[in-house]
Amino acid sequence: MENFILETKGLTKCYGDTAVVKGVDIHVKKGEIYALLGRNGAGKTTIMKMLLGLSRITKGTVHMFGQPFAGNKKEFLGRIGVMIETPGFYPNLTATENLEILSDLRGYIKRDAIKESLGKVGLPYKDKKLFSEFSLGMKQRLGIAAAIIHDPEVLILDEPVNGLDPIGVMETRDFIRELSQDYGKTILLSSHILSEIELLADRIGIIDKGILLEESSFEELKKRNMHYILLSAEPTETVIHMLEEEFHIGDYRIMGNGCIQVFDTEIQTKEIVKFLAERKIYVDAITKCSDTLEDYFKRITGGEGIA
Amino acid sequence: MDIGMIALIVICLGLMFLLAGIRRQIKKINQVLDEIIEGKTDRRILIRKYSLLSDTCYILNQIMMDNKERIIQTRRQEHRNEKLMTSLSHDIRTPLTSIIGHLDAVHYQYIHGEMNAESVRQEREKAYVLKDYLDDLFQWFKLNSKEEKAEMEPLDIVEETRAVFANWVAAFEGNGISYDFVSDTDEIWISMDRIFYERIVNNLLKNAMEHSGASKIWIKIEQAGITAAVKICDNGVGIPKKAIPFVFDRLYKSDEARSSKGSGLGLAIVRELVMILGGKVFAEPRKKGSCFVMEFPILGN
Amino acid sequence: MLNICRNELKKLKRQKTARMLWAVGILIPAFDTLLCIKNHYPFRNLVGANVLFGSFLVIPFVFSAMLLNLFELEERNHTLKNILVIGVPEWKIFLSKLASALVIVVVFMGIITAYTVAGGIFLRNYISDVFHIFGIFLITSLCSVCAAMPVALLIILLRKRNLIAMIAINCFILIDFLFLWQLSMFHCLEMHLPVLAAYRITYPLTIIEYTDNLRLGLDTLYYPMDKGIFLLGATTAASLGISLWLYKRQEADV
Repeated sequence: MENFILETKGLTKCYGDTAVVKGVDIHVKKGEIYALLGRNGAGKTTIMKMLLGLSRITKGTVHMFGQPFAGNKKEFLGRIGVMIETPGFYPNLTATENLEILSDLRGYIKRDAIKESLGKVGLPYKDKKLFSEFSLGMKQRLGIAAAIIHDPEVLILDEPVNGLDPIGVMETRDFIRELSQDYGKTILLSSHILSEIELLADRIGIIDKGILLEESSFEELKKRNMHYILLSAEPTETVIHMLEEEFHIGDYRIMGNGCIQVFDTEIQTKEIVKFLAERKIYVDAITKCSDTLEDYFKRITGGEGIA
Repeated sequence: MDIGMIALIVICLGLMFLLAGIRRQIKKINQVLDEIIEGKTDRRILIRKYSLLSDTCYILNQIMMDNKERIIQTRRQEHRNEKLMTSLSHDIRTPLTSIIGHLDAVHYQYIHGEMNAESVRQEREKAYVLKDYLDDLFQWFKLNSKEEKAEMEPLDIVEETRAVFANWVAAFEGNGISYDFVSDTDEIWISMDRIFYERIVNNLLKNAMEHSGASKIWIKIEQAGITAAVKICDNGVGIPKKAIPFVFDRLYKSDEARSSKGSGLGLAIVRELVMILGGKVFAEPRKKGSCFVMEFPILGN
Repeated sequence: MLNICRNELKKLKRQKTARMLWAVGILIPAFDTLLCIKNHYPFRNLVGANVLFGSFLVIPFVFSAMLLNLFELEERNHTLKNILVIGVPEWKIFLSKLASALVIVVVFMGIITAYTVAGGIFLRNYISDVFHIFGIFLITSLCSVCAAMPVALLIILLRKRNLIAMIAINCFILIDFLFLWQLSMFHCLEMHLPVLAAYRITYPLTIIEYTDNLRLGLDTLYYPMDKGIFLLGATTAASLGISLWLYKRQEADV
């Protein structure tokens, strides 16, 4: 599909012999919020750096706006707003002076672009406070201000709510949502806070140990994988055996308390109840459930969960 | 080669560089404009702060961004209208369903005799309530689409308020509500529309009587500099502090469960009318009860 | 490019390190000017002393310390990624920092000139051609900076470790100066070091008045001009080239 604002094919990064990112294919559509989900050290930041040319790509290609990134770097970078790792600014300068330096290098879109972007994140304009005196929340907000100052079409944000207090998290979340829904900006963000991603993302890419395990829209993910039938019936092994024979269930898991999670949701619960009752197995409880994103993540990354 | 020649050459070279730089900038600007014409309206032109072309680029960007804002506002308005439509159909469907239910019951003769007469009375009441609601709604729509025109004339607001208040005395006494009317000036002249103002005061008094459960309702008129303030207050349940900014919104009802009385439109209409008359209306937070304050500019003599 | 240089200088606002370097650059030439005045040296000796201490000690030190400061500023504050993400190529960043450091050098030269002229007024046997004096300092400073260019290499290699880099630079400058100081000993006259070449080819320029002693000095210190320029040029080009290449490689492989 030519519709992808951002697309990578086989993105790989090796440090010597070890590959920290292997064959990642990301597809980000215009106007959506794409979340990279993964543990610390899974490779999210490395991928973002490679997307922007901050880190050399060992193998693979990056396409943006339909064109390869390599040849059009400067032009594309003017249309992208970035906040990677901790926001870096000069501690001996004020917020306004910091943004002035960045804008002088990049160019302005309007005369009072700095004033406006500081206003949008709630920081004072031409204030005397030096960056070294900023709280963590203010630093993060300045980072966002620097990312939006040139009204970019794409935003790449690395853990935007990192270190913010709950109000700050909520404000940032609302801000990102407004940018995406009202202004139609494309946003690629990474996080390891599952609850935030659940609230924001349109599409999710799950990264673990440098590999993209899964990429799909949040809705699809919920429909496809997170719904399951929770069955509690004794004796568990017999029940499993019977279900395998009759319904050919393949995707299931036995939980600690003897409950069975069946992920083949095409099977009707009433069929199971009837089937088991006919064989004199009395079902204690049967219900349709949905995994939280966290449970799903644990499952798909092999059980250790988010660091 | 004397110093003059060298200076001339240096100046020429400098100008050539400047010109080449400007040509490059113009080329970049044209590229972006081409893309904008193709439909990519999110492109922006980046330009150095002190270039000859800076102001031009700023204006171009501003045009694009203003356009975008307009589109966003329109989309938001559409969204609001859709929500309005949905809630409207709900507001009308509910009483109508009930009326139809009763009529069906009568038609199929599920109810007889005395119960029949009682249910007819009930459904008739409901039908009238629905009609009142639709009237309110129609009025609100007209106000919202700015179709209502006010006929302004100089009026004494004290006298007008007193007149409207007087009409409610019977209702107050019938419901055991004590009342009072205080004004610190005998006459205050304001430019307004009599019918609209009557409507406003009526709505506010109706709101106070039906929703606050108060035992005393009073009006206080004050003159403060160039504005006249009319306060309609009660000592009833009051308005929770965080609801104060929303109390005039179309769908606001303080108690979601008790939606039998009132359409939630009364206060919304009040706000629209007050705005047309050039005044302000707001709810004043109070420890007990509530106070709705209207402010109008006094007519200079 | 000019834009980027201006920004580099803006980054030094209110910075403690920058302030200290300014202090060094202002105070030390003052110090040795005062010494000369106290000892009632003739003007030409004042100029010579300022050239030696100013151009060949203070200026290379301030240049390399400032250059290190500019590079290390980005590392310490993690701001390099901001600049790279705007689309500024690494070589432009490198050259602009170099240019900014040179601008500061020129400013210091002006200060030294001012001190020299002031000293001359005090000693009452000055030559009032300020441009000539400024020219002397300009050329000597530029040559000495070219000779000190290998610090760029040190800076690029060590910029992530501030303290070690600072020490390394200081050692380099001191060693250079040591060779200069001991010009007539340690068989220095046989060595073809860039700093010695810089001093020796600019020595004739720094002569304000000719005396018999100076005739002798000129003959001893004579160094063929073209060879000197070639040596300096090669040092500068090689250092800058390798540094630039290393910088680019290091940043790209983050």
